[in-house]
Amino acid sequence: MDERESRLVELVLQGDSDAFGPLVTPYRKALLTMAYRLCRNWEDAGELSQETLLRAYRYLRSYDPRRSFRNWMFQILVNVWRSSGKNRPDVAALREWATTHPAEGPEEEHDRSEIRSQLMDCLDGLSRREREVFLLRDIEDMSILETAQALSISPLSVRVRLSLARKKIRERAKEKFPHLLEDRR
Amino acid sequence: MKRERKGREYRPLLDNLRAIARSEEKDWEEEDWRRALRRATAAEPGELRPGWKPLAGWVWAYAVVIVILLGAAAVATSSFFRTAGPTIMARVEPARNGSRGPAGGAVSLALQNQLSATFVSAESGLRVYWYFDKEFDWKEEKR
Repeated sequence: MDERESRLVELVLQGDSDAFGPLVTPYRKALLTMAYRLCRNWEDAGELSQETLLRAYRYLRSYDPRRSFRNWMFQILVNVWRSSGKNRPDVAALREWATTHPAEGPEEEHDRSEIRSQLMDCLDGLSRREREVFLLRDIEDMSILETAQALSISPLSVRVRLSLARKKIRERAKEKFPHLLEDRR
Repeated sequence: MKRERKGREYRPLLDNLRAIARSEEKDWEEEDWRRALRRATAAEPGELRPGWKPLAGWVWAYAVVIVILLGAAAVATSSFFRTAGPTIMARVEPARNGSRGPAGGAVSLALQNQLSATFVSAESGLRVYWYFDKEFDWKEEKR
């Protein structure tokens, strides 16, 4: 946690609620997107993110400043998601996204929807637990320990679930999107 | 070898998936974001643990009843064993003959030529001492 964040946390805890906005704003995109990847539905993602913000503010005193604030927010989000039961796929989500964020041209429109569906298609093959681990560890680039802490499981469980998730993703990509296995650098 | 091959295979896939993930990030509508912040900060910060909730009254009532029952069971059990158990306790040990060991206080077993058996009545507290000498002749003493 950087100095700016710790100062903002202190201000919020001293009663300055206006300091909460600058504290969480850097993570607003990441929070909403992560919520969407977990629940696969933008509407539910908005609700989960709102609940996450509410809990983060309410329980800020329990936040350990030695930890990353971003990871702490993700931990709350995963807990909110687990307790909400919002785990249904939404096939209309891409269309919804496309209408609220129109692309600049037909080619970009095609590329974007193609790309998005590929990632979500890969995630669809994972169980709830595997998806949590894969998203936090491989997509959000958390360490094994941070992932374990965020999910309240052991590092060994993280490794096991991650291994299963990677295997499934690799198989799915091989079957449906073999070009993703190519090194494009 | 197989593991290395899988790792080599997975690395470009992971890079591509991360690139996809970055490209599909979605931001809040400004109005939605402001509303979410307003809603979040309407509460008071300060609770210590997210998992902690005040326990309902019926939980406390049940806890009190359970403690009372356990206490009653403990009392009933101990009184039952006191009445059903032996009323006389016996202890057999070398009789003290007055000599003390070098450590001060320990009875010297080498000099021991008497054995005593002490019987204590649990009800009256009466103590009966039996002393045996080397020849197993005994004498009795009551206190």
